[in-house]
Formats: sequence, structure tokens, C-alpha cells
Amino acid sequence: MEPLSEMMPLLLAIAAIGMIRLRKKERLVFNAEGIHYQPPFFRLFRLISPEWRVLWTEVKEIRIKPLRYRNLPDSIVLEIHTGSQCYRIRPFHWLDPDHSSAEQYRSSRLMWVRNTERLHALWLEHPLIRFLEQIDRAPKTNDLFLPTLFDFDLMKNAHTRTTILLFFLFFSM
Amino acid sequence: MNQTDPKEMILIRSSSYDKPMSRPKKYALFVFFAFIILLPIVYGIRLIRPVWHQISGPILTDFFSKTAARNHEKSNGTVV
Repeated sequence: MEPLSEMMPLLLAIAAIGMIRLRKKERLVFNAEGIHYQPPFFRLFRLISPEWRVLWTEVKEIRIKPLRYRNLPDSIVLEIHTGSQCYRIRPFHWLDPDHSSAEQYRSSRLMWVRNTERLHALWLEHPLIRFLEQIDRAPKTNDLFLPTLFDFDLMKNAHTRTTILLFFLFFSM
Repeated sequence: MNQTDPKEMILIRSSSYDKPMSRPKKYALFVFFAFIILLPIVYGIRLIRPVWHQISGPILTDFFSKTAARNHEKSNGTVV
């Protein structure tokens, strides 16, 4: 038997593969009663991502967390406020496999959105938001258009664009 | 809450979603990765086979002598 230090890469690889396989079991269920998050792990690892369940009667407010980067859809966080707790969901990390189209799949994997109009369109066609609109619980989409701390439309300005390209050029060499 | 009861919606992680792939593409990928795995095995065997009788003796002797030495050390109570 080899020492543990030599087996570490193998163990890490096994753990990573296991995590990837477990991730397929993760579910976020929206129904008429409420929201139910089912974590991928079994009981021992529930501390990492605990299971939670919210009823619509408990929910006081759903709103978008003030955006920091408007161009990164993955960074958008939806906050579900009850009296005592706040549950956070990243809508663009989730996908509806029953109504999945190529367009939706692509939008869920988008890392970069050029303008706010495109982001708004993605937001409106997202199944989660459409579901919330059906039950009159959708958050105010105006929050998407509020000014952000970092506006990442850097490629608009020629001077900034040149600076960024030079930066990456030098640090790649 | 509105009185209309929408259908239950089950969301999954987008990273765990298997993108539908065409059959020929799937088979082509399978063959590609099978080759990547099998080629080093096949050519490794082809490389080792003619000389295995020359290197097997020293390798096995070295291994067993080392394990014997280690066992001997353990039995003497030396630090392992």
C-alpha cells in the first residue's frame, strides 16, 4: 500500500468525478406550494449545501440583489426574503430540462452579455422568471437597469480596449 | 398569490445538463477517446514484450529484496 501522499492525486480525481456525478442529483423544485431545494449530497455532507423549503405563504419579498457586474448573467442573484431568512438563487445556473431548447442552453452557459437589452431579453425568457410571473411573484426587472459599481462595457472605449489588450499581451508572454 | 396553479417545475444545474448530441458525433467522440486510451496500452505492450525477459529479473529481485529489508527493519523495532 502506497502512502497517502502518493495516492492524493488519485483520491482528488475520484472525489472530483464523484462531485460531478452527484451534481446531477441536485434539484430546485418550484410548485404551487413553494420552493424546494434538494442538495446533491447525502446526509454526511449536507452541511455543505443544506436542504431548504419555503412556502409561498412565508415569502414576503423576492428581489434582485443589486448588480455588481451587469454583463455577467451568472452573477445575478435572486433573493427570496421571508421574515427570518433569506434564500439566494442564481437563476442562470439553473435550467428546465423539460422545456430546454438550444437557445436556453446557450443562455445558461453565457459568460458575457454585451448590452442590458440582451440581458433583459434573457431574463424575461428564463423559465424561472416566467414561472414567478405566472403566480404574480416576479421581482421588479427595473433593478437590472440600475447603475452598477463596475460597468464592464470596456470594449466600447478604444483607449481602454487597447490597454486591456496590451495587458493580456504582456502577461501572456 | 394568484389563484392559477402552475405546473410543477423542476430545475437542474445547467452544468449537469447533457446537451443533446447527434449520434455520429457521439460515436466519433467515443472512438477518438477509445483510441487515446488504447494506443499507449497497445504500444506499451509492444515495446516491453521483446525485452521483458531481460528486465523482469532485476525488477522483481529489487522489489522483493526491498520489501524483505523493510520487514526485517520492522521486526528489529527500528523507525520506519
